[in-house]
Amino acid sequence: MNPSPATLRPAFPRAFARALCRGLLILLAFLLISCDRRARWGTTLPGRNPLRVAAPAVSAQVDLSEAAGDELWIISRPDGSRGRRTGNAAQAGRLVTRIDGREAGLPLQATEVNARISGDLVTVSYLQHYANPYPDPIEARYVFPLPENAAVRDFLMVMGERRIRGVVRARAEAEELYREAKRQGHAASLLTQERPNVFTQTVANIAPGGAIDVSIHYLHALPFLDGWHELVVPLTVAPRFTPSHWTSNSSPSSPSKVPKDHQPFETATSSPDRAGSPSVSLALEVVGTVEEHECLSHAIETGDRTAGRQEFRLIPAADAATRDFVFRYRIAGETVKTQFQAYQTKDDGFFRLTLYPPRQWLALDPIPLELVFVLDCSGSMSGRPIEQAKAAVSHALSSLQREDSFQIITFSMTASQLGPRPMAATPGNIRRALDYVRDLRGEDGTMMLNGIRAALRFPHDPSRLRFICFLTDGLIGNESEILTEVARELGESRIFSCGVGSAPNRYLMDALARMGRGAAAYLSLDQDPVKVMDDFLQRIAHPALTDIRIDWGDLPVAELYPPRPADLFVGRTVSVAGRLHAHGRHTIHITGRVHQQSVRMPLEIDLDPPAGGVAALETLWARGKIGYLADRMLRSPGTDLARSIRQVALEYGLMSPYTAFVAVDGAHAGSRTRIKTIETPSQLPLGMGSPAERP
Amino acid sequence: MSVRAASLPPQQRLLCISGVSLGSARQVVRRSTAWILSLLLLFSQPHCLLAAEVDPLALRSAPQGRFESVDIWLDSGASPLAAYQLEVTFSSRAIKLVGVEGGDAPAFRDPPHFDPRALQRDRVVLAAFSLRPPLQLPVGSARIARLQVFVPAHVSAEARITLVTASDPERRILAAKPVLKLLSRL
Repeated sequence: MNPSPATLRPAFPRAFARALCRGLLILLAFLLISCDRRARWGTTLPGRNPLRVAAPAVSAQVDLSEAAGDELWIISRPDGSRGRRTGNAAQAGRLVTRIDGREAGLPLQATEVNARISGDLVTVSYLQHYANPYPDPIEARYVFPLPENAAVRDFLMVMGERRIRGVVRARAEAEELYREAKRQGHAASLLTQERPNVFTQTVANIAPGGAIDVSIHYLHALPFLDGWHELVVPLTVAPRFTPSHWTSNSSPSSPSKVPKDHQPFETATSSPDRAGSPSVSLALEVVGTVEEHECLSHAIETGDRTAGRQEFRLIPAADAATRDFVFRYRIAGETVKTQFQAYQTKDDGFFRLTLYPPRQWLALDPIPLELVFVLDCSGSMSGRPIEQAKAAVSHALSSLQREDSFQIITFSMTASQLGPRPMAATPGNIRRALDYVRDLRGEDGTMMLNGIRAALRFPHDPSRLRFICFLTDGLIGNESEILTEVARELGESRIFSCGVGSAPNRYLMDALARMGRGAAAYLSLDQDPVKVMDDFLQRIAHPALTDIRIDWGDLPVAELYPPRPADLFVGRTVSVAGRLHAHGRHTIHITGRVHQQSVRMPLEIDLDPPAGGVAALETLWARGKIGYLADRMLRSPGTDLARSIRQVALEYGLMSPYTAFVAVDGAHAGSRTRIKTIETPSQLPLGMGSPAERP
Repeated sequence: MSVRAASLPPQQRLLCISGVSLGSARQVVRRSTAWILSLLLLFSQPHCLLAAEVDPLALRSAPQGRFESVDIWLDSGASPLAAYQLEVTFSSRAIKLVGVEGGDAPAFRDPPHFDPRALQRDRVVLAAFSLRPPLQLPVGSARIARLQVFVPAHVSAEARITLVTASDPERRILAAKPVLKLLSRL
C-alpha cells in the first residue's frame, strides 16, 4: 500500500492552495450552518431527505427526549408464565410505542420482496423502507428473517436518488464503524446475522421527516420436495424459548443475557391485531412456462404471462407477515433428472451436482421400520400447531404395517413416553397410542434437549432401521446445543424433522435432518397432515441411496462441499458443490447402496465451452463452504473455524456470523446528540399466542 | 422505415429504453455479454492493461477519526464513456471503505460494483458499464462514482487512483483521465 518514492511528486504549492480554498469553504459552511443548522438539515440538504413521509398526527406532540431510557416498547406479559423466552413470551400481549399516552408510528413503513426464479435458483431483492415521523433523528432497529441458506451478497442504503453500496467487513470492525458513524451524526446502516436465519438491520440518523431504504440482495438454490420446486420467503421471526442454563449473566438485575454460543437474539413481537404493522408486498417472476403452481400460505394473483416467464403477486392482507410465504411450482417440459451445472472463468471454475432419486425406487418393497415419534408439547405449539401435529402422528400410526414397531415421546419442560421399549404395531398398541396422542396439550417451555436425549437414548430394536420423526416448531434459542447433542448421540438412528406451524424455525429443522442423516418436511396450519405424513412414510419406507460416493475419473475436482454427499431419499435431492477448471466431455460415476445392493450410475458431463455458465455457482459454492464449516463447528464444539468462515465470507463478499454489511453516508453529518433507538416488532406468527386464533 | 416490434420474432425485437432503441434483443444480449466478460477478464488481470496514474489525494485526519466522501471524476474527452474499470489504493491500511456510491451521470448513477477479493488486498477495484445509447452517456469530465471512507484518528494518508481501462460504446479504449476529489461536507 505504501507509495513508491519514484511516483511521489512535489505537491506543496498545489496542496497549499487547496488547503486555503478548503479552509475558506469550511469557514463559509460553518457560518451558514450555524445560522439555522437544524432547519437546514431537515429540509434542504441535497439527497438527504428527498423522500418525505407524512408523519402520524400524534407525532407532532411526541418528544423523544421525554421518554425514559432507550426502551420505548411496553410489553405486557401474562402472569404465571413459567418458560422464559428471549424477547417476549409466546403469549405476548399488546405491544405498542407510547409516549405521553399516545401511540407513535413505527420507523419501518413497508417491506417489499421481489423474487426471480430461473431453473432451481432464486435471486431475491428485499427492500425495507424506514421513515422517521419524530421531531429528532432516530435509529431504527428491525430483527427479521431470511432463508437459512441464503447467500446475502449485496446491500444498498438508498436515500432518495442516492444509493450507497455497503461493504462486507469483519463483524466487529463493521459494528465499530457503524457506531462511530452514528456517533458523528452520519446516516449509516448495518446488517448483522444473529442466527443462520435471523438478521438484524439497524439504520442510524434517520433525519426528522426523512426516509432511508435498505435493499438486501440474496440468492439460493430451491429445494426439490416431493415433485415440486419450493420457494420459501420467511416473513416473521417468532419468539423463542431459551433454557436458563444456556445464558450467562442470568441474574435478574443484569440488563442482558448472553447465550453461551454468543448468538444474541432479542426481538420484539407485535400484538396479534397487527395494528400499525408495516405493509408487505411480494412479487415473483418465474422464468420458464409454469405448468402447475400452488401457494401453501397466502392468496396470490397471477400477473403477466408471456412466453417463457410468468409473474405472481401477493394479494395484500393485514396478516401477510404472520407466516412464511411458501410457493411451489413445476416447469413444463422440465425433466427431473440428475444434473451437472458449471461456471468457469479463464483460470477458475465452480460446479454443482444435483442428484435426483430414480423413480423405479418406488417399486421396491418397503423395509420394516422402527419409528420413534417425538412430539413438542410446549406452549408455543398450543392451539392449531399441536392439533396439526397430533393429526399427523395419528395418521402415521394408523398407516404402520404389522412388521413395524413404534414409540411416542413428548416433551415440554420434561420428556415422557408411551412405553419403555419399542412397541409392535399391533391393533391394540396402535389404539393405545392414538388415545395417548389424543390427550396431549401444548404448555410450558421447550426443553428440547430432554426430548432429543430421550429419543436418541431410547432402546433400539436391532432388527429394524430406526427413524426418529421429530415434530416441532423449533422455536428455541439453544439450537447449537441441540445440534451438538444430535451429532454426539445419533448412532444408527436417522432423524426426519417436521416443522409445524406458520413460521417454524427452518434452520433448526433442516440442520436436524442434515445432522441426523434424514430429511426435513413442513406442515403448515392449512396443509393436510395426511398428505404430509403419506409423503414422509413413503420417503422412509423405501430404501435410500446410502454411502454415496462419486468417482470423478480424471476430473480435477477440489474443495467439495459437503465432502461426502448425504443419503438420497425418495422425493428429495442431494447436491454437492465444488471447484473445477477443465474442458471437454467426461463421464463420472455415482455409486452407493440401495437395499443392501450396490448401485453404479454413470453421468455424462460436457464442459464445452470452457468459459461461461451460471455465474451464481461461485456464490453458491462459497455459501456452501460457510455452511459446511459452521456445521463442523457444531459437530466438534472445540473446533474454532470462525477465522476460516470469516475469510471465505470476506473473499466472496458474503454475509456470515462473523461478517457484516456496513454503509455510511460520509457526505453529510447531522448533530452529535444521542439518538433514540426505535425497534419495529415482528408479527406474532399465525396460530400462536392469541386465544382467538386457536380452534 | 419503422418496424413494429410485434411483427418480429422475439430474438429480433428492438429493445427501447425511454424511447431510444438499443438494437435487437440479440444484439443487446451479445453486447452486454461481451461487456460482462470483458470486465471479468479485467478483474482477473488488471496489470496487463492500460494504466494511467494521477496525482494522489490527501485525506484529512481528525482527533476522533472522520468519514470522508471521495469523488471519482473521469474525463473522457470528446468521446462518450460507456465503461470503465479503475483502482483506488490508500497509503495506509487504516483507511476503511464504508460505501460505494454512483456518480452524477444517469448512465453511472447506480453504485459501481467492486471486487471483494481485491478489497481484502487493500485495493478498491471498481467497474461499471452502461448500455445506454451514446447520446445518453457522459462526455468530458463527469463524476462517475463516490467512495465513502473512514479516516481513523491520527492517520495521514493519500488516496491514489489508477485507471485500468475506459471505453466508448464501440469498445474503443479511451485515454481518459481520472481525478480524485474530496467532497466538501456541508
